[in-house]
Amino acid sequence: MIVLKNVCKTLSGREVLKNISLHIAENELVGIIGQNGAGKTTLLNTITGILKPDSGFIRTLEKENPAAEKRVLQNLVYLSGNRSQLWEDLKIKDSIDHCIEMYRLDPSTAKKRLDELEEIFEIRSFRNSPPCHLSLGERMRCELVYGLLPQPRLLILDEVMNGLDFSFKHKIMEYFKDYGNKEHTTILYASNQLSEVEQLCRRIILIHQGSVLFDGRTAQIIALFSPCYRIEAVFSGNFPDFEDLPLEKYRLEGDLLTVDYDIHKIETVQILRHLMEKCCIRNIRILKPNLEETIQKIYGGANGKYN
Amino acid sequence: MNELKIALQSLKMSVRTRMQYRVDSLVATLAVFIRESANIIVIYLALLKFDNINGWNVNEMLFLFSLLFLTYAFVVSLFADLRDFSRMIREGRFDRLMVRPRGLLFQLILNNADLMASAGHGTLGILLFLISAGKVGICWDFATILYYLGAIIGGVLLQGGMFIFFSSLSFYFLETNSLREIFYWNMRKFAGYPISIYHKLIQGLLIYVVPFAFVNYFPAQYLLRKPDLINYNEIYIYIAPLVGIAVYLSSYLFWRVSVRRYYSTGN
Repeated sequence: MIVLKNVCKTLSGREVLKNISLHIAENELVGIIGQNGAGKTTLLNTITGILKPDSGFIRTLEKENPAAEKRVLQNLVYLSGNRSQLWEDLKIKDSIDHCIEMYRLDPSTAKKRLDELEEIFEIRSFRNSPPCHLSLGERMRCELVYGLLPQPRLLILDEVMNGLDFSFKHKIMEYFKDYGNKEHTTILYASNQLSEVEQLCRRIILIHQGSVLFDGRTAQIIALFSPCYRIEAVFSGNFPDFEDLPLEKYRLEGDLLTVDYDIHKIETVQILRHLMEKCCIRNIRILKPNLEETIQKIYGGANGKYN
Repeated sequence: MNELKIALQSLKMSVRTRMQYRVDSLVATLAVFIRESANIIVIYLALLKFDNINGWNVNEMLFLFSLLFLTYAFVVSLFADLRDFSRMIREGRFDRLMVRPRGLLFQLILNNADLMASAGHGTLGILLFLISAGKVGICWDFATILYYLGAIIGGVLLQGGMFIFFSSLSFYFLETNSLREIFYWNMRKFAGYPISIYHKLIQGLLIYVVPFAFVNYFPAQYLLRKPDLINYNEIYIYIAPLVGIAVYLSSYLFWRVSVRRYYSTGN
């Protein structure tokens, strides 16, 4: 679906992409994360062909020059939270009509699909309002409908959850989770909201200073970069002795015991067994590191390395 | 066919946009009409005193002007988005067109059509035509009408081509409005009068650089044959409609090259 080989790009004297190589298969849902200015948007622009790489090879939807081929663009939708597709002064339904013509959609199929989408994204009541009368979140929902209507094979979403409230975020993420397989669509999902990406994408690509710092399964990046788990236990009785266990650190505050350990050195179950034997546990909680902590850790390390 | 449908849809969207603010649109139309009429009235009054300018009497002058207004009425709706194209680039609005499955220029044409300006210029153009066309001694036979229509189309394409050319410059420079101001708008002011009244340098500019002379002066000369035509090669009056096509096509080529460059440099 998408292949990039040694792609480099310099924009106004700054190396924005450095030797990026990627392979994204059909129907994959890939999260793209990185700090501000890491090169996420440049990467997406390169993938769509809006921007040509200085060197290296790109291939999107089987074409090396996607943006120059109308047949490719027919199957590609690029939605961005800060670039509206809708007509500012016109009713939402006029913008949608325009989309139907623009992508040469079959009117009856489009109407059926629009019906479904309006239902899911709950935008039916805005049909006759222009975007300027809607809130940011309502607008974003309309943008998403505009983008999903042509049933693209490649859907690029850049910060599209802007302004959406919690329940809608949840609903839309649930919708996207199995969207790819159901509709045969590859989705690139770029966002600064790491919890969204963690929930939604099994694979993530971490861009840092123009390079791919990590590309793989979300669970893997967490295990790789932040192997520390934590057990919080409320106990009664004697304080257990940990001397023979390879823990990172432990702390006692009143009856709350906090244990940090590296899962590569010791398994959770070993610690639990030890605790159960030595004292009386009343309550226990095991905390896994999340993507956000992991990324913070990586940046800490990476920045150190680059400084 | 679908292309035509899209163009009509763009037009429909433009009409709807303007209809959102009816009063504002009406006032804007009136404003354009009054602003442009004021210029004409000044010339009209001046000519009552001087009788003619380089052999052109009042009605012939009005006829010359009518071509400028009529062609511009089309240009301002067809190529409205190209008037302030550098802003479109700066604001990133152009990028969204780049990922749509349609030709870029095609998406711009008729988009955001400035129908108020069209109505203002168009009304004035028609009015001037009606006042003057019967009194300047043109025999409106089939060939003349054909030439006249060709000249209008040529004039629209010529100015559209210039818009495309100046817009293409936006891919190279951040701000191009001052260039456009100097070369397009100022030259257009010159083009209101018979070009033979100007210094040779300005005549040269109007014929070879910013060829407004082919929008109204030479087409009017084909129909009127005023004595000052002797200063120019007579072939100009026959090729006037073709010059429009040539300017449009070469601007289009320049646009293509510039867009390709934009793909590699970004904004």
